[in-house]
Amino acid sequence: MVTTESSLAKNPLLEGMRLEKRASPFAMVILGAHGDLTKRKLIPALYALYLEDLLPKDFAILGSSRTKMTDDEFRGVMKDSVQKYASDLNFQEDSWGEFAKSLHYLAADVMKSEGFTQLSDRLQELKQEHSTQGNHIFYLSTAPSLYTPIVKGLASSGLACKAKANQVPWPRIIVEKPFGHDLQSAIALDEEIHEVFSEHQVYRIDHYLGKETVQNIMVLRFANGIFEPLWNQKHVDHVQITNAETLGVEGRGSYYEEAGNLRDMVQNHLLQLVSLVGMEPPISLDPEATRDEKAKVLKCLRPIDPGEVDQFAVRGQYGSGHILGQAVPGYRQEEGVSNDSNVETFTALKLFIDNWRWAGVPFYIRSGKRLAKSITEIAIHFKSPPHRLFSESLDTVSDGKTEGLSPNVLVIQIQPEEGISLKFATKQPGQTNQLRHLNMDFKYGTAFGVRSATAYERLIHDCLMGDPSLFSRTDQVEVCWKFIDPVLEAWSDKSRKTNFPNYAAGSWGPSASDDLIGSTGHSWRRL
Amino acid sequence: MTATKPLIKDKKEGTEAFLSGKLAQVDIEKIEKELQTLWQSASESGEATGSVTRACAMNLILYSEDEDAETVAGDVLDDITTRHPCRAILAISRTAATPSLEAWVSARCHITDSKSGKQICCEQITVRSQGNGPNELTSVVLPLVISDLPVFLWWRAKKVDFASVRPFLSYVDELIVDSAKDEGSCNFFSDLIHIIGAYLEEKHGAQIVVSDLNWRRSLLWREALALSFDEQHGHLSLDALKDVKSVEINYVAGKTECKGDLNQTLLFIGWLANKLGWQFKSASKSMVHFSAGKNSVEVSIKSGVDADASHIGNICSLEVSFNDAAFPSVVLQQTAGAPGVQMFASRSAQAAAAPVPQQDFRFKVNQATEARLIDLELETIDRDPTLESAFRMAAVIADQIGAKAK
Repeated sequence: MVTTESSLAKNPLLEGMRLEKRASPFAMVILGAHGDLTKRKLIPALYALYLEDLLPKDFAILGSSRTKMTDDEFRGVMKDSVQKYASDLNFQEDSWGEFAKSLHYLAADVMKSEGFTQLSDRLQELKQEHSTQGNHIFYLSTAPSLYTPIVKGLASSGLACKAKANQVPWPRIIVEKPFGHDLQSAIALDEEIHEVFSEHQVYRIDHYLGKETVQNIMVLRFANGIFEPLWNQKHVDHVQITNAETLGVEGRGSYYEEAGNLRDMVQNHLLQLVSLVGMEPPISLDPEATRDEKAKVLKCLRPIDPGEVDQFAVRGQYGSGHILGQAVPGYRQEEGVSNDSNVETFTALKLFIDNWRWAGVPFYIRSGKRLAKSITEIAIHFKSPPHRLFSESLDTVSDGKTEGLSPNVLVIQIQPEEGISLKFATKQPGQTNQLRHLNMDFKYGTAFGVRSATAYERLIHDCLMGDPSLFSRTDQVEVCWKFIDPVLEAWSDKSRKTNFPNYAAGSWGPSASDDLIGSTGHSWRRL
Repeated sequence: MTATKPLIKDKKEGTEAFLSGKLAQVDIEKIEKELQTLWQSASESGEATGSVTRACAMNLILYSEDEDAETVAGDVLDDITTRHPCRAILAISRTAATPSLEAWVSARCHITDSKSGKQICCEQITVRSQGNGPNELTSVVLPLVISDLPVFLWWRAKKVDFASVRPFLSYVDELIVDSAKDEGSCNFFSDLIHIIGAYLEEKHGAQIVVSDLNWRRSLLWREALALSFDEQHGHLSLDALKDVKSVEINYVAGKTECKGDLNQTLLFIGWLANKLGWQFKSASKSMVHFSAGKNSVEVSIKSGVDADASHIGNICSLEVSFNDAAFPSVVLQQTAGAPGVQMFASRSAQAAAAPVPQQDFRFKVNQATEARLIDLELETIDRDPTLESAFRMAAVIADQIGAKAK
C-alpha cells in the first residue's frame, strides 16, 4: 500500500494523517493487446491490483490490435489467461465479473489514421461509460518498429499532447523495451516521443526494477547501518551479476535475431542492476533524486575502447545440448533464426565504475540463454581478512597471505526465489580449528508468508500514481547505449570471426567467459 | 503455584500435533527447551516430508482475562501470522481459589506452496495463571520474549490498571489497547495517561508507543471529514472550518450501558477540537461545548441501536453545520450495503431531504475485524502525536461527564 505523509498544512484536519494514495480514474489503452505480454503479465497484474483494491472505482481497460474480436471474446481470452498464468491470485468468478465490466476491445490498425479516429471515439464513449475523466495511459505492447507511428498517430488524433506535471486530464505512455536499437536510434526514438510527450509523461518499463528484491537493494544499502560502510573499494573485492535462463528464444527467433542478448538483457536490465548496486545514496526518496543518482553512476562506467572490446566483453551462442534431461536444439536450429546466425545468446562483460567509491573494483556481468540453470543474482564479494589466523582451514596458502580463504559474499537473489544471503565462516564443531562456510539465508517467500506483488503490478500501479521512480529516464537509457555501443559496433563487424556455436545448451556459457573473469584472478560463482 | 508434567511423550506424535496447531502442555520451567526440541524434530520431519520454516519478526504478547481468550487469540493469530510472523505469547490471568500456572505450546503454520507442501510456521506459547498476582504471570511471560525483536503488548482486558500493566511495560515497544472494551474505569483515557506518565517518570528516557484499536476504527470518519475539505476530493471551502457552529455525532450504543461505548466518539471529538483549535468549556453525556475564538461550538452526541453487536461503540453518522449560511452543512454517513462513507453537502432543508452523495469515500478499514485492526497496528511502531493529544482532550471531556454523572 502506498501511503504519504500529507503536507497539506492548509487543511488542519489532514495534518498528521497518513492518507492512502489512490489512483485517479483512468482508461488504459493496451496497444498490441493480442500479444503474449497482455495475456501473461498485463491483465493478470491489473486484475491483481483490482483484487487488492488498488484501482480507482472508475477505470476502463481498452485492448486494441488488428485481430477482430468483440468485448466479450476479449474478456473470455483474458479470463483464461489470468487463470492460466496467475494461479497465485485468488481468482473468483464474482470479482472477475466485476473487473471484466471495465475490459473492452477495439480492433484497429494503428498504421492507419482511421485506427486512431476509432480509438479516439471509443475512448470518448468509455469516458462517459466509466467516468474515466479523460485520463489516458497508452501501453505500447507492440513491435518496437510501431512505436514512432503510434506516437505520431496519438498526437495527430489529439489523444496525446505535452502536459504540465500536475495537469488534468493527463495522457501518459508506457514504453516496453527495447528503447531503440543503438545509441543513434534511441536518441531518435526519444526525440519522436518528446515531440508529443514531456519526459514526466513517459514511463519506460524495465520489469526488473519492479521486483521486490531489486527495490530491496536500496533498503538493504541505505536502511541498514552495517552494509554501507563496507560498500566501497576498500572492502569489496568484486561484484558479479548473473542472469541465467534455461529457456531458449521460445518462438521469438526473429525478434532475437534483431536484438541479441546484449541489447535484450544487458543494455537495460543488467546495467540498471549495476546502477542500483553502485549508486550513491539519494538525497531523498523523491523519484528524481533516485533517478539522478542512478544516472550519475552509469555515467561513471569506464568506456570500452573499440579496439579493446575482447578484453572486456565475451559473446557466445548456444549449440544443441541438454536442459533438465531434455535434448534441445542449438540457436541456429530455432524457428526464425538464420542457420549461419552470428547473433549472441550469451554475454559476459567486465566493467569498471570510475569514481571514488568503486575505483579498481571489477563488476562482472553475464547473461545467457539455455544455460544450466535459471537464476538471477547479484553477488558482492568482500575482500578476505588481512591476516591469516586459521591456517589449517585455508584452501591454498600463498606467501603467508590469505588468498585461498573463502571470502564473505553477500548475495541478493532476484530469481527464481527472491532473497538475500550472507556467506560467512564458522568453526566446525569439535576439537578442531577447521572452518566451515555457511550461508545465512533470508527468503522473501518464507519470511513473509504473503504473496509479493509482481513487477508488473508494482510498475503499473506506480504509473497510475504518477510515480516514475522505478522507470528508466531518458538520460539513463542514453548513457547505457553509449556504454555498449562500442561493443555492438565491434560485434557487428563481419570481418571479426566467431566460433559460434561456442557453448552447449545446458552449460555455463563459452570458456572465453571463464578466461575473461580469470584474467583478473577471479572465477564465476558456481550456481 | 503448581507445575504440570510435560505431556509430549511420543516425539513423532508430539511433533505432528505441534505443527497442526494443537496445544501441547509443557513444563513451565522448560518452555524454551520443549520448543527447541519440537522445532528440531519438525525440521527433521520437514526434511522428509516437505519443509518447515520457522519465521519470527516480532513478539506479540496478548494479555487477556476473558474466558474466550484462547479462541479469540486463535482466530486472530490465524489471520495475522502470514503477514506478521511472530512469537505469540498468550498471557491469561484469571481468578481462582487455588493458584495454578500452566503453559502450552503450539505452532501456527501456513502452507505457502501447495505443490511442495512448504510451510511457514510461527509459535504460540500460552501461559495461564489462575489465582496469582500479575508478577507471577510476568515472571513466566517476559523471559520468553525474543530479544532484539520488537515487542507488542495487546492489552485485551476490560480494564487498564497500573498494577497489571506496569510489569510488562519495560519490555514493550508498543502497547495496544482497545478503549471500546473498557468496562472498569470511570475515565479510560485519564487512567491510561496516568499509567504511561507514571511509567515514563519512573523510567527516565524510556519510550513507549500507545495505540488504540478504537482510534483506528474512527479513522474512516476522520479521513472522510478531512477529505471533504480537500481540494481534490470534497471540494468544500477550508474557510468553513473556522466557522463551525455545531457538530452532531451519532453512535451505536449497546443494549446495556457500557463505559467503552462512548469512547470512540470522545476520541473523535478530541481529535476535531485539537485540530480546529477549540477550547473546552463544558460537557455532559449528550453535549460538549467549546469556544472557537469569538464563536461557540456545540457538539451533540446521540446514540442509536444496531442489531449487529460488532457495531456497538462505532460512530455511524455525523453532521457539521456552520454559522455562515454560505457554507453548506456536511453530512457523513454509512449506508447499509454501500462500502465506505458517503458525503452529502447541502445548503437547504429541501436539498437535504433528497440527498445525492457528493463524494463516496472508500477506505481499507471499514468495519474492520479485530484481526484486521491488529494486523494494521503491527505494521509499524510509530508514535502518533495526534492520538496522544486526542487522548488528552478525550480524558478532559470524560472527566467532566463522569463528574456530572455522580
